[in-house]
Amino acid sequence: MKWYEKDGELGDIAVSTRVRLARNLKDYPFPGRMSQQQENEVLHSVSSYLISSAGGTTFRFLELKNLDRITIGSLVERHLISPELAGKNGGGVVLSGDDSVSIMINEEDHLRIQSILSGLRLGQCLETVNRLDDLLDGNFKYAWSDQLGYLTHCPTNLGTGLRASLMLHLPAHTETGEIRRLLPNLGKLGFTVRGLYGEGTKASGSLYQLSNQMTLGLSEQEAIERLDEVVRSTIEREKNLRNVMMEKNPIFLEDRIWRAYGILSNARRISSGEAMKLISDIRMGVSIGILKDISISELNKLICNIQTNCIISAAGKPLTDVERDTERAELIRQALKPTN
Amino acid sequence: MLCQNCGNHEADFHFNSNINGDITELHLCSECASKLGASSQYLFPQADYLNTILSDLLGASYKKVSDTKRCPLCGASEKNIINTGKVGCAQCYETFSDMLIPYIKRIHGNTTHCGKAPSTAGPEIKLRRDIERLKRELEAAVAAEEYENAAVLRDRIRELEGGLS
Ligand SMILES: [Zn+2]
Ligand SMILES: [Zn+2]
Repeated sequence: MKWYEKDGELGDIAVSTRVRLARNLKDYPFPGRMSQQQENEVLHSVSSYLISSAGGTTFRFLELKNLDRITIGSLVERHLISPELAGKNGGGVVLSGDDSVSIMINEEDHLRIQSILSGLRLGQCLETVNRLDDLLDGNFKYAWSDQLGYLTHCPTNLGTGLRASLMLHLPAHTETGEIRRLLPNLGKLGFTVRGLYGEGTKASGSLYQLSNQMTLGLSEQEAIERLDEVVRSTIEREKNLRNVMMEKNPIFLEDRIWRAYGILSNARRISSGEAMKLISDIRMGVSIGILKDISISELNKLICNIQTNCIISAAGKPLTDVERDTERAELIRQALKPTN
Repeated sequence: MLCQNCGNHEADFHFNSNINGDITELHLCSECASKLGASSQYLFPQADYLNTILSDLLGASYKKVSDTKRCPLCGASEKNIINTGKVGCAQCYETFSDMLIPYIKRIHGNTTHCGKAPSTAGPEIKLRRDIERLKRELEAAVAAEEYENAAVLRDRIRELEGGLS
């Protein structure tokens, strides 16, 4: 079972939690200034150490230069590697069986240790990355300064090297325009928000990623506690906005949700943009209890599986645009089919 | 959070971009944002545009950019760092601390790490880390009403704290 197929706390609004630590090895220049030989040394020493000493976890190692473009694209869509790593021939990633742990090698930093889980689970993610960090610390010398903490390629990650993010589904914030107010307010508190899967200014499917900004002068624990607090209040606000929408104009919302259900359970071809928008409506429908018999984890899985590269990768052969949109519609109809 | 450009005013404008994996974040007060011509780029600006601002920022905070001073370990120059917004290696933070420390202060509002430390950390950091850990154990012991254990922990903490300068 992959991580996104499991339910998490407040999972109807908090889609997933990610925590990553940026780490570098003391005896090598940062990735931007490494020779090819140094890249290889880091890539192979770290991956073979992880695979041989991971204890109960089964890891697999993927080297970017051995992967085709579609596989790389689907790893990005599943958040297992960053777009930055995708463009790096000298990079690699170590993944756990359920894809909840990914250790990127030679990304912007030598190591990016990441844990991803469904729902709001910051503490658990932090625990996982800390454990892996301790494991690696036992065998490699980290770049470190007593004053500045863990040293990173970019000064914005100095200190803890910790970035914690929540993927939130905020359709009511989007609908009411409240999102415009949320962004600068969270910014003032030291958090950033960006649209997900989206291009330009519009977030696709009302999915937003909320992350901490500061890494220096704040402990790991404090950073995630603050984020947890902000996330919970944002979720609370989202619920209130939904209630207001329901009270003001219930038929508008109900109609929209049932229409989305109607289209998605009948469409024969659908673009990624339209699908994301309608799945967003369905997700809200499930969350406020209008739609029954659809599980949030099923929707999470669907969002992953209908991304362009994931569809092509699953098909195992090149697809035309029409074939891809047809396959997407098929995947969605299957997922929404009532289970008896 | 303070403006990353002037460091004097509250930052009202927050810029994020993630284009081709290049993640850049910038926080400016309204005055600096309009001065840098950034206000129209609210929310999801173009990466190229943002990189220019970021390197302008680093450049502006340090006037005398030298192209001759090089990091002995990786060979990076001040110019390299300003152009990319990234340092070359761990040693760069020492080599170019005059240029980097004010910049780091602007980004994070502070220049002292607090949190986890690796096994390569100095002895004082390790001592502090041990004290932190014992203090957490002490809290837990008190909460669980294990007073004998708590007394032992308290003595041990005092002993370790004596070792701090
Ligand atoms: Zn300013
Ligand atoms: Zn250097």
